[in-house]
Amino acid sequence: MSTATVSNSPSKWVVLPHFAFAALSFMALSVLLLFSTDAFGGHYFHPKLLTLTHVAVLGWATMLIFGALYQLLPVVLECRLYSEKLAVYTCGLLSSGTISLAYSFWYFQLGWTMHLAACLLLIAFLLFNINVIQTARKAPKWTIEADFIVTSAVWLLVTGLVGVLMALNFTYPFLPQEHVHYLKLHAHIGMAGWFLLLIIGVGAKLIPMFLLAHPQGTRKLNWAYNLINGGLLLFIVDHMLLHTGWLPLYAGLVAAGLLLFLSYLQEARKTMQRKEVDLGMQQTFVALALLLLPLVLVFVVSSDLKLPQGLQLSLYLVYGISVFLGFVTALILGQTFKTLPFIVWMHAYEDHVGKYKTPLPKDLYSHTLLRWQNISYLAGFVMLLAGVLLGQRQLILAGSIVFSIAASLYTANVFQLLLHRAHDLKPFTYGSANT
Amino acid sequence: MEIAANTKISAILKANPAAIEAIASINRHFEKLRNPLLRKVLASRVTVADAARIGGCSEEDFYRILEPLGFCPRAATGNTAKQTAAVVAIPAYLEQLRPENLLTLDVREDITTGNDPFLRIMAAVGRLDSSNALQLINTFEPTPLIDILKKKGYAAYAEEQSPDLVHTFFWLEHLTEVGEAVAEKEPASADLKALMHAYEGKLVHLDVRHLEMPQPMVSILSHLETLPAGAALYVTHRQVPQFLLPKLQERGFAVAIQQAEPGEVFLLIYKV
Repeated sequence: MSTATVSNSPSKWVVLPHFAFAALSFMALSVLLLFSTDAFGGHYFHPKLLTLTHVAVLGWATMLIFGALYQLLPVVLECRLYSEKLAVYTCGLLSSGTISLAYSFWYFQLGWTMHLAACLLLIAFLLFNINVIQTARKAPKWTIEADFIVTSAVWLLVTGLVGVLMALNFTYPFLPQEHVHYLKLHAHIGMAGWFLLLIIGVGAKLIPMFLLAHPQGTRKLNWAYNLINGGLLLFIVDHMLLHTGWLPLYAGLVAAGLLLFLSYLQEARKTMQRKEVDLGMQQTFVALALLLLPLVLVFVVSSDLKLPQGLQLSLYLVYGISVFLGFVTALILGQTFKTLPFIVWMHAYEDHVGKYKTPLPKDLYSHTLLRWQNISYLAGFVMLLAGVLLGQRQLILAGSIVFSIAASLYTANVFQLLLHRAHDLKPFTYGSANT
Repeated sequence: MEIAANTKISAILKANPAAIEAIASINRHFEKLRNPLLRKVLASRVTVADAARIGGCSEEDFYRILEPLGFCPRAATGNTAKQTAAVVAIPAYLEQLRPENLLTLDVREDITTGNDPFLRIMAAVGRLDSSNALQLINTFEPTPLIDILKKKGYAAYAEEQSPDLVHTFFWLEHLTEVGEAVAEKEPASADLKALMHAYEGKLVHLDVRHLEMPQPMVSILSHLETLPAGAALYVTHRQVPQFLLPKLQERGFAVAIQQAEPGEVFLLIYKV
């Protein structure tokens, strides 16, 4: 008999605002993209590009991950979230921090607005860490997934710390080297430490679950964890202190870890019991395939290939875009429609199950919108990449327009879910059953 | 057959059914064994040592009465019946408890009429939180019950009022982290087997491993709505269903969980 008196699941007022803000950020991102086609021709340290990047990683990806994690942590760790209050605070801090940071970058105001934004975000990450670590401490059994998630939260904090130092350095220069040097550190800790580790930690649990598969053993995941963290630590030490030319080696360690994760998923996929793969999972596989591009490019940008300056810069851009607008965005677009419908369904129908005819999570959103969202996303992404690589502003604009269509479809579908209400439930008639 | 203090009464009865009469003749505490239902629920949970304590006799009484039936006692371990004498001080928790926070359940009539009070007791235990306690009134010290509930994080204290009247108190051991973890995560495999036994012939089987979330939950709760009275639902699941457990409790069901291997969990869900 269970002694759990209340559900492990947090209140919907903790989780759902994250999804709402993330969808609006994605919308904002695509609109900003339309007005930034001029920025893609130059250096990646362009105010508009910095705005786009931070709206994408903070308002869109991190916000959505926070919301999803508050719901998923209890599932992955099998215990209650440590504090719902902290979760609400981080949501407020992260959203206000993101808006003020986007404003500061767009108008390139490096003074107090940026300092404030950086502090709000750092406090948000700190509170998030407290919540995640305290939740993990309550977990009845420690798993490799918990390692990934907790470590990724710590890397997020480190990313934020480096970010704060850089924000201060704009007004009070105190860092010994040029700004771009720290930008590389900031970006890679964020990409490999926060996003990659987190996605592996959550994905290793959820993807087999959605496929109804049983992966055997976690040896590959253990190695993936060691390789990625090892590669990242070596990169930091080298980048800050040693300055050797061995960066591709560290990139190789991270890439090897990533490949082990993919091979783990491949193994799981072999044992899957599902017959058909739905749109959300199709998009997830597209995201994993899109990983190949940054996987190749990371070696190009980390080696000293003596490419022409123009090509080098556009490769940097393509690398960044392929991580944030490619892999991370594609994954979120797919996984939103695996997790959010379930969350909404739980809150709307869990008390009625068995007593009334209830719809299923997959009945709560439009599959047509989702299909067109996936198609327009992929088309927009490819056009955008091609435009950046070829330096064609018209192509970038066209890509941005198609991308905006994907964002609108996504936002419409998400808000349809968020505003869903249970109505007209018909009780079952059980014939001779004694109810 | 060799017997010792830790031999289960059910094993003895299985080896030689004549032992039922023999044990029942020790004293009238053991007449319960003649009732087939009580025999089924009690004998499998009680050892010779437990039984001696419940019946207020010594283990030697058992060996003496069973030897003629072909049982031979293993070398004595020095365990004597009265060893766990009830001279334990009243726990502080009970002393400070206000009378209105004491739930009382009298199962003496169930015991005499031969109804298994187990589910009634579990229902009462389900109402316990950190502010109250259950006073169970019966005719003997319910050793097996104390063991089962201990594993679930409940503390117990028994008080012998008279040879035929024992008050046993159960309360939720203060939610230390360990207690909570044990209460929620205890695989309860012994429990599950005992319950399977109790519900033999009245089990509805359901395999939800091939279903995608949340269909396992929908399917289980729908089956529970139509579950015939007195039956239990036996579910094969891929994982311990975190979202389902609180729903079960809200709807008045209890569940025993056994984790067999990764991707395979057995649940026995029954009405309390």
